[in-house]
Amino acid sequence: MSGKHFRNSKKATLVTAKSMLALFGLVMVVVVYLMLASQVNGIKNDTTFEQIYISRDIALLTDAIKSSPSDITYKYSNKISSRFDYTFGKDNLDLNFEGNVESFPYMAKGAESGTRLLYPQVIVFEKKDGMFSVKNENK
Amino acid sequence: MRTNDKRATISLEMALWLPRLMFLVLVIVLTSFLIHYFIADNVDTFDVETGLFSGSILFSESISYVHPDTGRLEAGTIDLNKFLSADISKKIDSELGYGSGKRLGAKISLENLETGEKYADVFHKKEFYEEKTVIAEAGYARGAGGARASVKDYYVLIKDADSLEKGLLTISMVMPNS
Repeated sequence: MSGKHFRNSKKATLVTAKSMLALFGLVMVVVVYLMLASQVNGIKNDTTFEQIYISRDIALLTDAIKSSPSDITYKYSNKISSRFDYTFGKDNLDLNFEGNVESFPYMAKGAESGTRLLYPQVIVFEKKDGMFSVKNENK
Repeated sequence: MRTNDKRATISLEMALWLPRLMFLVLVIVLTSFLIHYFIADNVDTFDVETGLFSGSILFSESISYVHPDTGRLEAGTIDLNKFLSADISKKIDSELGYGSGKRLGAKISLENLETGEKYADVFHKKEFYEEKTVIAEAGYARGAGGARASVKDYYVLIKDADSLEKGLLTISMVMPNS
């Protein structure tokens, strides 16, 4: 069978269609793999959960220290989460990481508002003579 | 349909591919769902927050007895004069309670176990408490619009002038899910 006759034949049409569909299937496999890999990679690099966890942990710790009936000093080791920018606001603790902010409200009142700690490795919470303060103790 | 027709043959192949594509989409959606299902993206702090609030009430100068000589706060001893004062809710609001945010509402009840007398309830964010209690009691504890309630009982002493009597302090708290 010559080339011209083969191209116009029914067999050629089937071969071409099947090849195209197989190619399409292959492309789909690659696309799906890349999509799922990107999704997993995105989750691996996502700091949202860590920010939620740390903001709650520190806000609730702040509440506990503020509720203390006597003077107290507490050192919070923060080496794992020292990459965040901490802002102790009037009602909320904000954790900022590259523009992604997670907040959690305080319960107890009396915090000094607007204290900002950049990448603290140790956070010192202190309640003395009824006044609460928080500071960075990086070495 | 004529089987010797080119277009018909291609259409048939395409038609056979449709269920495969639908299955592929299903697999993608399920895989994506499973990836996210097994990853925790939130922390439930309801028990910690309600425990902390009730603990803070017990250690609050607004409600607990402070010894006049030592200045020491006696947690678990309720000063009845403070509890019955008209501005007790305002004092608790100013000392505790998530600022202007609506995160937790509470009702504080005190009962004298020796005389059986029940004193007037003290509220923290009363309207908010009543609104969310209806939702929590109706059983809507899940989802963004739901709310959960917690009740904690503490056996306390009630200090009234020179007398000291046994009492029961009940702190009912309600928190919305979002």
